Amino acid sequence: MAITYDLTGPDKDRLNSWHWLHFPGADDAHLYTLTGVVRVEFRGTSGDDWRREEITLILPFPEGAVPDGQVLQVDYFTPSVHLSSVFNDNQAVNAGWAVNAFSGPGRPQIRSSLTVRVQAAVRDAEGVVFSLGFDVAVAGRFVDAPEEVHVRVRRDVWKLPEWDPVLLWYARAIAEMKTRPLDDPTSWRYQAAIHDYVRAADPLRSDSDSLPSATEQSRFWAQCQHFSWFFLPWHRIYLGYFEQIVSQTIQQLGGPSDWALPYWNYSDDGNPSQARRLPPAFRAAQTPDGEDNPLRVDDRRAAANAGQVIAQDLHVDLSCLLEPTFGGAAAGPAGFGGPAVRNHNIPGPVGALERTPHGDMHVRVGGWMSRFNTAALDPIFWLHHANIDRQWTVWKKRRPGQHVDPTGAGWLSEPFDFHNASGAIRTLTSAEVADSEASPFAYRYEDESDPLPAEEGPGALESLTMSRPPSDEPVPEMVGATEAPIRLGRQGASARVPLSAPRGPGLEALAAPTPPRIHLNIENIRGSHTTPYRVYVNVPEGDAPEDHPELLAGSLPMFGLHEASGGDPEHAPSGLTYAFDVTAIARRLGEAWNPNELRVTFVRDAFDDEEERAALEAPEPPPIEVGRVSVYQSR
Amino acid sequence: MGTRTAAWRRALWRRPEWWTLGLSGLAWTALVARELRPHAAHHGNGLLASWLHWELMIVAMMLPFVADAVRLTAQKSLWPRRDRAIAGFLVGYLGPWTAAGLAVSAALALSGSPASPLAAAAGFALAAVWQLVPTRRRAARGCRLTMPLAPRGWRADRDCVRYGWRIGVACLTSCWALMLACALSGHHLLAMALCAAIGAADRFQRRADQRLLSATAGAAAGVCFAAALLVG
Repeated sequence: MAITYDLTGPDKDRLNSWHWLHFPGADDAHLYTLTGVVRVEFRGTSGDDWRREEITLILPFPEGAVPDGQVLQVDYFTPSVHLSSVFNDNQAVNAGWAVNAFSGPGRPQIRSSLTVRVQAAVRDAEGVVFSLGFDVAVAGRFVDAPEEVHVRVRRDVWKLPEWDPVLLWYARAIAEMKTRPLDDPTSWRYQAAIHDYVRAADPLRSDSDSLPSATEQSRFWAQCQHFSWFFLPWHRIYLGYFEQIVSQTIQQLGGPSDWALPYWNYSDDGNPSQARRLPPAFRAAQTPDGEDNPLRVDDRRAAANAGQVIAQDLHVDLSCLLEPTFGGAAAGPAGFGGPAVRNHNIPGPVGALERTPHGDMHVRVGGWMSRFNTAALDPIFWLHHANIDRQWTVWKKRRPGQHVDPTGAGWLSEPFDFHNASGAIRTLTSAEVADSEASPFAYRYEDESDPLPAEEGPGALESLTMSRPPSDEPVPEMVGATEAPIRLGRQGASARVPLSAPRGPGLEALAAPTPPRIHLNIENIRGSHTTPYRVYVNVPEGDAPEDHPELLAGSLPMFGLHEASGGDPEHAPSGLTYAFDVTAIARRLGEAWNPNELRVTFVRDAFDDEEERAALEAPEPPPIEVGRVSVYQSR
Repeated sequence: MGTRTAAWRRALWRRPEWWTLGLSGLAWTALVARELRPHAAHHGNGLLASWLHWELMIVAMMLPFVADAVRLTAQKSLWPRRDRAIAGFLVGYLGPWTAAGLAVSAALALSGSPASPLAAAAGFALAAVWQLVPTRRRAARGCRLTMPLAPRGWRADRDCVRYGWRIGVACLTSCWALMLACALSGHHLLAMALCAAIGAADRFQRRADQRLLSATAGAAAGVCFAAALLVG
């Protein structure tokens, strides 16, 4: 959770002992020190569990310090923040605490306020209310204030009325874009083909299509980056240009200039009855204009178009936000953003965010959304990916300084080619879009706060430490694997993974203060039919897995199964590999965790009753084959 | 395990392919030494000598291309058998190349004519064409294949060899023409360096410019042809 105290306005009564000093220096440099104490509402808990909070302080800058029309361009910023007074009914108590303080992204420019983000953690301090003391030094020069950049705000679609102008204009723009020819980069189908395109499987194929040249198709179409750490930057750029194209179309139609793509937050705990349904504007047969509704696509699961709840907890789960690193390993832990790929090397397991909720929601909507080559034809695709893109920002903001983007040139400088709203070719790199507000697209999300409760984390104590240098990163060691492939049919399957004691890097875990991290890899999953499964660990013999939600490792969405199994000319036919962090399950089981064997149970993830009936009556599709299940241990 | 492991040791943990690259380095050294030694016995054109030279070339040039597959094989094996897993992979990987080498060496021995600039020109021209054939590109995706590996026993060895073999076949399909050009040039160091560069540009970039690579091979063919005219 995150709290913001705006000490320039509504919260200024919380500020005490505030004073500042100014030291003019050589070469037009200016140094300011700001000191004060803020009364915060941060209550500790008893016992050994850490209670963490992210506190944002908007500190006032000395009035009149910055001349009109100018800003202080910060060159140097040293925040020092500490928990100063601790009170419990006027009795001082001992409290363990740790504080990290960071400013906002990049080098800030100050007009009248300065933002400081604090991560505070306390324990053994039930019921106390804290004060934060701060001592901030800021040095910089005065420069002319930059032109205002209009920042688009992407809104939560479920907080908008059914036919909010944002959605109505979206529908109108799509209708207009659908009239443009296939080889026009700003046409609806061209934009969808950028994700993936298979001519033979194009549902809108017609003989009168004017296809772009083979060279153009190979450079711009079927470019979606999946199963690698380029998943997030590529889709950010894809959505950014799409948003610009739609916005320009809207303006051509006489609409507003500040349209922004909304996002679909299916994980919203504050709106559980609605969040997991398709928003009504995407289901209605007609728009308020009386036209056929372009936001509606018939090729989805019937339940989706009927407005029913289409996802369960595990499909919208956000434990991906707990991943400590962006880039995943080649075996063992998945990263938040996908496996690290340097010099086009062989990738590791699918990234945590890409698996869940991204892959799951593609499959839960179903129809066009469940296939790479038609997914972007469904207007909900863009809202789904806006939400996925939003999680990138959320991940970084919840642990600034620890949750960071990759720093190597291999990720930063990878270029991606697109067309902008004028049809001109543009190339952007991951580095240029790492910060959405500073990117050429200049947008942010209505809500970028941390959705997870503060206590979460497989190693809450561990994540308080500074991030490790690369040479000190844990090295996963494989401690067990299955001998033979596993066939997943209608009945699901189970397997035993014999485990051995670690003999190499995995031994580091035994010397560390925190329990070992255990990762499960479900490797080389191959098949042609996207049938999702769930995977449980160590379900007691004879018990039904469904009776043990605490043993659920996660979901296997199987989105992209066909493409990964040889159906895509760009991917080797290795199948999908998914990774699951089962450290929390292992710790919860404690003594009951068997160090010699892990049992894995696959359960087919049924859809609703009606679809189940239809599926059972239809001939059984060929089984999905899991190449191997393996277990990794690391510090 | 009281104290933290030494940094160099951890670096080796991360890079189990280190000795594979060491083998490649040794092979390059041997190749350079052969070139620099004047008129030594190796200039016999027998089948065996030719084939050995080919093997040396493959170990030198191709092993760096599979460093990530080697690393993955080790990481996906139980710790005590990781080097054995790598060895199995390398045995499997060299299989297709060895077979190709025998065929090339036999052809060269039968034809009786040693490598020449004209032969190299033909080889590079063929490589330039092959670079653009769609079959080659589809096969090249197999260079990034992964496969499940049984954890222990003879099945583990079998799977490592099998994995190496499949990568080897993909590699061979993708790069045979460039390697042939090298062989036809008499394993000239410049030819090998150029082929290594073309291969690297193709393998290690997400979007390699196939036309540029083809043109480079074509230019090499032109240079060899010009050399042939000057010599002959």
